[in-house]
Amino acid sequence: MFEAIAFYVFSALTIVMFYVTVTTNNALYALSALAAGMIFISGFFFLLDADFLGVIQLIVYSGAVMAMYAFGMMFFDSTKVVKEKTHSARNVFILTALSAIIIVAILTAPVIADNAQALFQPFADKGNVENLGYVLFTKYLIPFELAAVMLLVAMIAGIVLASKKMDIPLEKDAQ
Amino acid sequence: MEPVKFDLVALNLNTIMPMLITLGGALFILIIDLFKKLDKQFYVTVSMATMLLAIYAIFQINSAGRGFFDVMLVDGVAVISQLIILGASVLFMPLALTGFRFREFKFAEYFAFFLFMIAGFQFMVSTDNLILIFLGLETGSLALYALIAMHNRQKSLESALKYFTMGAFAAGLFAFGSMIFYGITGSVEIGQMKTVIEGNNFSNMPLILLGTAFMIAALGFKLSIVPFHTWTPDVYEGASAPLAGYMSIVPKIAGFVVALRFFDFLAMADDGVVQTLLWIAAVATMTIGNILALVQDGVKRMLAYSSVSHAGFVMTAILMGTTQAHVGMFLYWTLFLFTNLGAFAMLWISRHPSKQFDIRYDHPFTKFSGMVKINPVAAVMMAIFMLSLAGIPPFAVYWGKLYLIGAAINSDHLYLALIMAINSAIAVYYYLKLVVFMFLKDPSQNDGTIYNMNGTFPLRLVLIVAAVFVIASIATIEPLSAFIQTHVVASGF
Amino acid sequence: MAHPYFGVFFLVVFTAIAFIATTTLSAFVGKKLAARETEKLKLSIYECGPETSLQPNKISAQFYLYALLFILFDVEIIFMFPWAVDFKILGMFGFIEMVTFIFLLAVGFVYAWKKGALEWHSMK
Repeated sequence: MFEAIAFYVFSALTIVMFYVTVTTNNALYALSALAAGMIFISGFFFLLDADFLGVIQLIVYSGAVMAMYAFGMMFFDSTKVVKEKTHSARNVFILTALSAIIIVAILTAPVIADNAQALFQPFADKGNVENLGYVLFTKYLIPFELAAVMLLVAMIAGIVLASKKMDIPLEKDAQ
Repeated sequence: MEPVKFDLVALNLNTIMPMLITLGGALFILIIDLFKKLDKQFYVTVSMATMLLAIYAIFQINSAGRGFFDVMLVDGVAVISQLIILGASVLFMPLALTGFRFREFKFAEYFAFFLFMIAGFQFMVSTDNLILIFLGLETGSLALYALIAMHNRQKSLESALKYFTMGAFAAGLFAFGSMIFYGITGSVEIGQMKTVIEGNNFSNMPLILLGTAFMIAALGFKLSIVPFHTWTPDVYEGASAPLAGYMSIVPKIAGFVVALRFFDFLAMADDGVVQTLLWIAAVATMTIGNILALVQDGVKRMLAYSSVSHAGFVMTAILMGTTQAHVGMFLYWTLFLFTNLGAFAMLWISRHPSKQFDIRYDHPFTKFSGMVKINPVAAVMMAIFMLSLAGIPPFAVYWGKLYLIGAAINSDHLYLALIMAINSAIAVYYYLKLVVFMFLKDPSQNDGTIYNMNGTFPLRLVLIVAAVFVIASIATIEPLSAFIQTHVVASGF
Repeated sequence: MAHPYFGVFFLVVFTAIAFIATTTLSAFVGKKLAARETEKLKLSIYECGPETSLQPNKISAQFYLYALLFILFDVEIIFMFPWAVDFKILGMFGFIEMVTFIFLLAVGFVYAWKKGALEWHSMK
C-alpha cells in the first residue's frame, strides 16, 4: 500500500520534472528541473531497498554532477532563451524511435533477469550497504583500487590541461 | 558473514606485479616532480626502467593463473599482449627525446600519464571480468586523451576533444552491452557467461544479438572498425606523430584481446549470426579503409586510414576462431608494430614545429617529393617501411598477411581469403604513391637536412631498430610464431 | 506502515503541502493587502553615468576545475561508506585496501595543492 502510493507519487513527480527539462527554453529552468528529477529518482532506489544506490544518486548525481552542470552553464548566457535548431526532421524522428525501442528493451530486461542467478548470493540478514561493501572489498578489490587510479588520472589531467602553462601555443614555444 | 582473513598467498600477487610496477613508476614520477624540477632525460630513463622491470616481472609469472578472487586472469594471451604493449611503449618512449623542444615533454605529468595508460591497458588484457575491463579501458583512455591534448595546438585540442567524446560514447555502449549480458547470464565474467549461454544452448538469441551489437559498437570505436572509424584520421592528424603511431598499436591490441575473449565463443555458435556480423565488419573495415586511404593528401591521414584497414585485416582472425588465426593475429600485430613505429618515427624526425609545408597538413605528400636526391638515407628508410606496410616480401607485414590468409584458407573461408588478397593489392597503390613522390619527383626543398632536424641519437636508434627488424623479419618469424603458439594454445584459444 | 522510510516519505509529502500552502497563501494575502498605487520612477532601475552594456560572457576554465575536483573527491568519499559499515568484518584486510585507496587520493590532493589548483585564480 505505502509502496504503491510512494511509487506513483515519485513517478508522477519525476515525469513532470523531466518533461519540464526537455520542453523549457530556459537553460536554468532545465537545469533545476533535471536536478529535481534526479532527486525524485533516488526515491525509487530507497523503495527497492537499494539504499546505497539511493544515497549515491543523491550525493553524486544530484549533488556533484548537477554542480558540474551548473559550472558548465557559466560558459553560456543562461538567462537567454535557447533557440533550437533542427537540421532534419527525419533524423529527429529516427533517433526518437530508436530511443523508444531501447527504452522498451530496458523495461523488458527485468523479465529475463528473473531467470538469472546472481553469482554472489547476498546475506539475507544484512542490509544493502553491508552486502555491497563485502563484495566490493573482497571480490572487487582490484577494480576498486583501479577506480582510485582512474580518478587520480582524471584529476591530474584536469589540472594540467587547465593550467596557465598550457596557454602558450606550440609554435611559439619550440625553438 | 565471515570475517575476512588476510591471506597474501591466496591472492596470487604475481598476477598484478607488472601493473604494480608501472603504477609505482607513474606515482614516483608524479611525486618527485612536486619537490624537484628535473629534465626530460631523467623522466625518460625512469619510464624506460619501469617498463623494462615490468617486462621482467611478466617473465617471472610461471604458470597461467588467476588471482585476487579470480578477477585477474593471466593466461598466455594476457602475457603476449602485455609484452606487445610494454615492448611498443619501450620503443615509443625514446621518441620524446627530440631535437626541437616540444612543450609536452617538459611536463613530468606526460610521462606519468604514459605509465598510467600502460597500466590501464595491462589490466584490460589480463582479466575476463567486464567491470575491470571497463575500468582499465577508461584509465588508459583518459590518460591518452590528456596526452594528445598536451601537444598543445589548436588541432591537438580538437582531436583530443573528438576522441574524448567518441570514447565516452563508446564507454556508454560498453556499459549497456555488459548490462544486457549480465541480465542474460547473471555474471560479468566472460568465462561464466560462456558456460551459462552454452548451457542453455543460446536460447536468448535476440538478446544476445542486442548485447553483441552494443559490444561490437563499443569495441569498434576503440579498434576503429567501420562504421565507427570516423574519428581516426582527425585524431591521428591532431596528435603528435609518435602518439598517433602509438595509438594505432597499443589501445588496439588491448581492444583485440578483449574482442577475442568476448566474441570467440559467440562467433562459434551454430547459426553463425555473430560470425556473419563480424565478417561484414571486418570486410567493410579493410575495404573502406583502403579506398579512403587512396584519396588522402596528407601522409599522416593516409597512415591513419591504412591502420583502419590493417585493423580490419586482423579482425578476421577473431571470426575464423582457429588457433592458427589467433596466432596470426598476434604475429601480424607484432610485425605491424615495428613497421608502424618506423613509419611514424620517420614522420616525427621530419617534423619542424614552425616551418609549414602545407596550410592544412604537417606532412603533405609534396613535402617528401624528391627526397632521395637530397636526403637518400631517410628516403630509403621511409621506402622500406612503406613497402613493408604494403605487404611486399620479404618485409615484415608480408609474413603476417601470409599467415592470416593461410589461416583463412585452412578454416574454409575462401571468399574472405580472396577479399583479403584483393585488399592487399589495393593497399600497394597508396603506399607506393609516397615512394613515387620520394624517388621520381623533383625535390621541393634545397636543403635535405630539413628532414632530420628533429632527429637525435635516441630517435635514430629507434629507427634503426625498427628498420633492422623489418628487413630481418624472415629470421624472426619462426621463433616468434612458436613463442606465440605455445602461449595461445596454453590459454585455450 | 512498517516500512523504514515511511517517516521520511511522510515528511516529504507534508513539507511539500506546507510549502505550497504557505507560498500561495502569502501571495494571496500580499495581493489583497498591498498598496496598489505604483510610481513609475520609483520602480525603475537606477543607473549612474554610462549606459548599461552586456558583459562579454568569458569565464576562465579554472572555475570548471573546482567543480571537477569536487566531483572526484565526492566519488572517492562514496566508497568509504561501505567500508565504514563493514569495518569489523573486513578487519585488517579492508584497512590495508582503504589505506592504499586513500594514499592514491592523497597523491592527487597534494598534487592539486602544490600546483595551486585550489588557489583562487593564481595557478602556476
